[in-house]
Amino acid sequence: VKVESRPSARGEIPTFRQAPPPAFSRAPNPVQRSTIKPLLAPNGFARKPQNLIIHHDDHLAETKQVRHPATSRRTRKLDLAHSWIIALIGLYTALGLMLVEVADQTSVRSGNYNDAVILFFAGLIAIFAPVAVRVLSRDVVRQERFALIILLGLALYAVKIIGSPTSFTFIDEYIHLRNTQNILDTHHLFGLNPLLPTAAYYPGLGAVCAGLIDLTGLSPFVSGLIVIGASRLLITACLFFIAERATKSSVAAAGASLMYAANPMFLFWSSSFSYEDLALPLAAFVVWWIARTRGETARLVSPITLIAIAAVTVTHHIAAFALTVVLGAWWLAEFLFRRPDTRRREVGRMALVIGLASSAWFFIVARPATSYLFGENILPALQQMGAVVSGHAKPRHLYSGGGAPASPEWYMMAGFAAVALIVLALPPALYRAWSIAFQRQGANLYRNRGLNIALIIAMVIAAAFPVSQLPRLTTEGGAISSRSSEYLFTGLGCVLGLLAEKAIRSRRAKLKRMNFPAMPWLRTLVAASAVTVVLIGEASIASSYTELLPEASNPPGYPWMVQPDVIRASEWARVHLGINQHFAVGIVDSQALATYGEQDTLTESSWPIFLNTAMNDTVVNTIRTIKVRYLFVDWRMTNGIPTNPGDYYFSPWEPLSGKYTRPMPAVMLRKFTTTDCSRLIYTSGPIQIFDVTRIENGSCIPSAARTAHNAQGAP
Amino acid sequence: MKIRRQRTLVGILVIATMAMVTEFVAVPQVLRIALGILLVFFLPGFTIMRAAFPSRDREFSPTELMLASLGISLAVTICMAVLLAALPVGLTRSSISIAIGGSTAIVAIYAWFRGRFEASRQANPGVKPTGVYSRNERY
Repeated sequence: VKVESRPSARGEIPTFRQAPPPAFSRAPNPVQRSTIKPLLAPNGFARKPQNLIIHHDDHLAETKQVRHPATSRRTRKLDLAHSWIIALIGLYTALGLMLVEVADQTSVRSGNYNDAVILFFAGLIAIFAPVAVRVLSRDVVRQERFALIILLGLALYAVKIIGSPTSFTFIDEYIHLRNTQNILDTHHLFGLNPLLPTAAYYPGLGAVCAGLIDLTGLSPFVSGLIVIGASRLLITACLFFIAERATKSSVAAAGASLMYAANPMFLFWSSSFSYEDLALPLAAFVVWWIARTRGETARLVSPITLIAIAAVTVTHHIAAFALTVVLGAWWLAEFLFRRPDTRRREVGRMALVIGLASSAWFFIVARPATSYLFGENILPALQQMGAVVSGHAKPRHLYSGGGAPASPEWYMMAGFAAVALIVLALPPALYRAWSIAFQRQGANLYRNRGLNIALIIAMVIAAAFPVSQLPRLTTEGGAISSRSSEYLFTGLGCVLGLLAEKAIRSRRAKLKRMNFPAMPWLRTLVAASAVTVVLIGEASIASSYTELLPEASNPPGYPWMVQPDVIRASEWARVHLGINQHFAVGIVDSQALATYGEQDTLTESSWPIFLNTAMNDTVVNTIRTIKVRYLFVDWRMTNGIPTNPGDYYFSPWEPLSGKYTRPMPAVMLRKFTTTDCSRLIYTSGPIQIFDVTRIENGSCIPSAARTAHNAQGAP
Repeated sequence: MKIRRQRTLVGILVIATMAMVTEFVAVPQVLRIALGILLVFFLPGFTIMRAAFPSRDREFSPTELMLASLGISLAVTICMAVLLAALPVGLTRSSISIAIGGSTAIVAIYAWFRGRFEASRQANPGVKPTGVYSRNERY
């Protein structure tokens, strides 16, 4: 009796049945024979196809049935035999994290920044490269690969935590911290979020974090870290399993996970306390869950899927739409390539549910989201891209920002090398994926397995990668290009993972004929090196050189991170002025003022107040129109030009946004100290808070003739 | 094996009840943190998995079971927290603990009965266990 893999009547995972020996059959080696299971379980029931995964990566046999990993005695032995290697990789990971910590501390203490960046990348390589080499090696069992991929995901999450160990530091983190605080304060949804009004209408992250805070008594920062850490675990594991189901190989799945870990957003952005970083793992979980439970008759399977879909819907718009597209494409592909059956209809139903739910939430509940997403992000980027393509506008110089210093050559070259490597590897990877997906592989490995729908979808996603790089040539489109990588690298990882699997698989006979040494370790080393280069390059693409490491306290110019004195001033404002007061403030300081101070910050519309040299009619009218009661003045604006994304002090619509070559003139801030209508109520170092309530309510009108040239009293 | 699974469900029931009680009784912070994390990230999903697959747990590997428990727990907690915050009762310490702890306890009881039914059915394929009837025999 031979065991032959046949395409399943119900899905991608092959079923196994008795079949006559094929013409090309050969005698199995002893190890292979010992690992073949009988087709019937001891209890007499047919084995479920879900328990059987073909492992092509083991050099002992091309195709074999493997018992459930947890119950395989052979697997356990291999695990024990290689445990010292895992311990060694763990040591390398710890060493890498230590290097990252040293690099961050060097940057915070105003040490040599260039040396710190080198140390940082050395730490990243120490974390990433050993795992990459090991999981792409041939003699590694699936569980070890999976465990190492999980270790890598958590270690890269730790890199972000090491960079900001005591508080949130990214702008999106402040947005969702404010959401969480609103829910904790009011116990209800949709509280005003001055940092990003749209975020208040996607309360999934804030609600779960508030629930965890209520249940445990932990701080919002620690609760947020735990929630995002759990999400990181979820997406790392789900992507491995999804890639394994798509490629039918744990080597390719490991390669896919490595590639996903190398995407530019994974290191920092996907580790931040942001709604997308919870929704995307949940979306990945939905895909895995539907694939894993297809054909299950359990009545609770569909309700569980619906609950997960609901969670994605109320957590993030783009993730919900992306899930709709994936499930819709899945249904469409099965509709086009397969006969209709109940399982296809189940995918279609779920695609319809998430499509309707996400659209209804987006257009009916989260109304500000439409203008935020299309008006402020997608349409401007598309317009700029159209202008660049049609020749009406010049493309942006890559690695250049308005105020940021130029990046070193090697930093830019790393980014170009990463993109070039991916683009060069993409055609052969797509060809290989195509061959497998449409059964054009010559060997018996993939014969008779039917169309691989998951791989076809992965190919379509991966093919979009070169197009996704075009928006980088515009000032508005860089963020969209980077953000899309979180989605595109799922498919890209699968097809490049298949290429890596092909590269490291033994072809000893062919190589012997060519009088070439086999050296399988060399191919593993090359594949691991390539993906490590991609990691370094994509990290350089994601962050500007000066913002890769945490900023020093009280930097010489205008800071791009919230400074401790701003936090102290914000807390003072909460205690002494009460919450939800209208503050005019700069974009960087608004993050602390809206969260630690719980104030209603006005940044985008308040730039005329600050960017005028005198308390003229424009300033007074703006104060009255947007009902500003307090001004939060940071004198560091006069020390340096802005280097935050967009390169502006207050708003992307201020006149010199993105074009600053000199710092803001001190006269623009000094005017507040000269007028009788404003009252200085707080001063500490470069931070001042002015009370302009009398101007706002019209009881005092400043003299427009008094210019700031005669002003006194600035710190 | 089946006895161990049933004991696990009883343990979950106890933990869920403890998590609800600790919201009204002063307990050490460490215990509160441990119970809270279990209640948000593990217990609801694990219990639902046990209820959904009462006798076919071998279909899911331990890794998959843990993954499913985490994903389902997160999804359930998000939905419950958002629902509570949208209702007049609001998202408070007591409401969230009662909602998640209570629903986990209820699902654990349901899973316990389903497990018992499945065990009896497999042991005696032709005999219905006492007190458990099929849908058709109810009328």
